[in-house]
Amino acid sequence: MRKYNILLLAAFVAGSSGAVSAKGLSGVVLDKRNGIYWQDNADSKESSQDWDDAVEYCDKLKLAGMEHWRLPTFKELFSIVDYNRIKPAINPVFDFTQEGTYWTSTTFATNISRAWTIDFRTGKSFYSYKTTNHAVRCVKNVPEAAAKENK
Amino acid sequence: MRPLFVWLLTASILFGASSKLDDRTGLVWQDNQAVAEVTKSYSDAKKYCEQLKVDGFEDWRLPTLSELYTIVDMRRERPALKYGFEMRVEEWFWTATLFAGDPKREAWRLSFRYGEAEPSRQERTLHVRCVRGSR
Repeated sequence: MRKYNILLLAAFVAGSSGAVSAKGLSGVVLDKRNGIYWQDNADSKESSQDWDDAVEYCDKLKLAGMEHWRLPTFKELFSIVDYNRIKPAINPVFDFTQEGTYWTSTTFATNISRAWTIDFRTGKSFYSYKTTNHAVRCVKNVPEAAAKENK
Repeated sequence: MRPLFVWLLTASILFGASSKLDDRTGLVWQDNQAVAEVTKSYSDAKKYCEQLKVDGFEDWRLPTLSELYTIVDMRRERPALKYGFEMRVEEWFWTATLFAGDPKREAWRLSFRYGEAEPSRQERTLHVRCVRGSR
């Protein structure tokens, strides 16, 4: 039980460095441990849209032959911040990052007109009105990983 | 593991639940009155945790930003803190994580009002919630 907890903790601590480029998939980074694909192409550097458009953009995104993308949760986006770096404060496996604020799917607790964002200049997290324009980096669950989790 | 757990449970009842084990991360969090009352500068907060004695343990330290975020619950606010903690303070708390943009002068602070985090001057006096457990 104790060993198990230590393993869990080790996995948690290693979490932020789990991202690697997906072989053969252009514009995509694979986070094997969390079982998610990350968008990493010119769009993820240049995009700027309000929250509703960001949700729709990910929903309609077709990347590396894959459909059904979504906005990352706050927890997911936080996992790729690298607090040892600034401008951008992101895991160096990512090539296309705007030095600006990115949307998450996590809506503000009691005010649904706001959602959480992370500013990748420093890694600062704050809430923003959904009508504001911010950058977007979509994610997609890896189907195999989802299947393994269900076992 | 089991005797340790029973002992911890007994200790926390006897000592008035001064700390809380988070099953998901394996981290143990300070949860006594001092969490609500004590404010420190960054360097004093680090020393404070290292010298802290709560529930018979002496291996406390200041949590990193990632660790402190594990007890944030963004479905709640004021405080945006997970269920189960006694000390529910909606204030700024120190983390051990230095700000890479100015590590000599600034470190990260996290607000339990809503769960936001930002770099802060190290001389500011903020609340402290120490943690123990392997990293």
